[in-house]
Amino acid sequence: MENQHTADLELSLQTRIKEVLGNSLHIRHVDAGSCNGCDFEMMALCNPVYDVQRFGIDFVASPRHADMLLVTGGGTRHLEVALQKTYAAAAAPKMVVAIGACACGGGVVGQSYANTGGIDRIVPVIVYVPGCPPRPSAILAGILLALDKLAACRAAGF
Amino acid sequence: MFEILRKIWQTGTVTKRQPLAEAAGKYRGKIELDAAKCNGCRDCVGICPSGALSGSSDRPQIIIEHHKCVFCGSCADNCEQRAIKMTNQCYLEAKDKQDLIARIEVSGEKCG
Repeated sequence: MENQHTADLELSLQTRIKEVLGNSLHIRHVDAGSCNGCDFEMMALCNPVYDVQRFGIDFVASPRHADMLLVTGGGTRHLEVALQKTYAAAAAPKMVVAIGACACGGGVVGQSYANTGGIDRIVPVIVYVPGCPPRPSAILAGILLALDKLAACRAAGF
Repeated sequence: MFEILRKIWQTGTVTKRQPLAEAAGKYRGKIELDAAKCNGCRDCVGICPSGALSGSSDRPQIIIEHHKCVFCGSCADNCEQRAIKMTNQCYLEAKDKQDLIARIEVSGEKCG
């Protein structure tokens, strides 16, 4: 009952935050055992070519400040707990976006004794961004899809 | 000092006005299976390093799980029928995992 209420509250918060966020989104990057390929592409979003900070998207240092978690890597056994703790620490609405093939479905690492084979076995994921690694523009499209803004951005010529 | 300023002046703006532009033509993106050409030999299933392609011997069907694909292009290189192609499509984001799974019925001459 309590959990149901919390889930409802989270859902309503999620819709509300999408209205309120507008052009301000704070992201925390969580490395759940990736090879750094996706992380480099993600950090490339902040370089002069893509420059997501002009859209108001910012990378922050703590999950407590973040509206969204970008998770890379397939969730190794040691980082499973770290990911759960990070998810628990994140501010509601706790939007989780899985970046790369490992986070989406195990990728080339797959499912083994050391790897969960997908982030969605640990935390609920709202958007999957496949690719090995995905282009920075594809990651940006995934972020926009999580905010339900992708269609509007495409219509505007982005 | 003057040299640096001159280089900055020459470079100009590098920021992309349209960050969601299409990838380059040679970009290895989403794989595409031509069901008309495929004969169901499942060489691609054997060569796939991440198990993104699957098929069984009793059904003429190839299942492509795009969320597992690592875009190495081995399937396209090893397809004798040239039925699999790498497109330059890089925007594969989806809210539901089922949208990323394609079940393709093939002619299946070699199936079994």
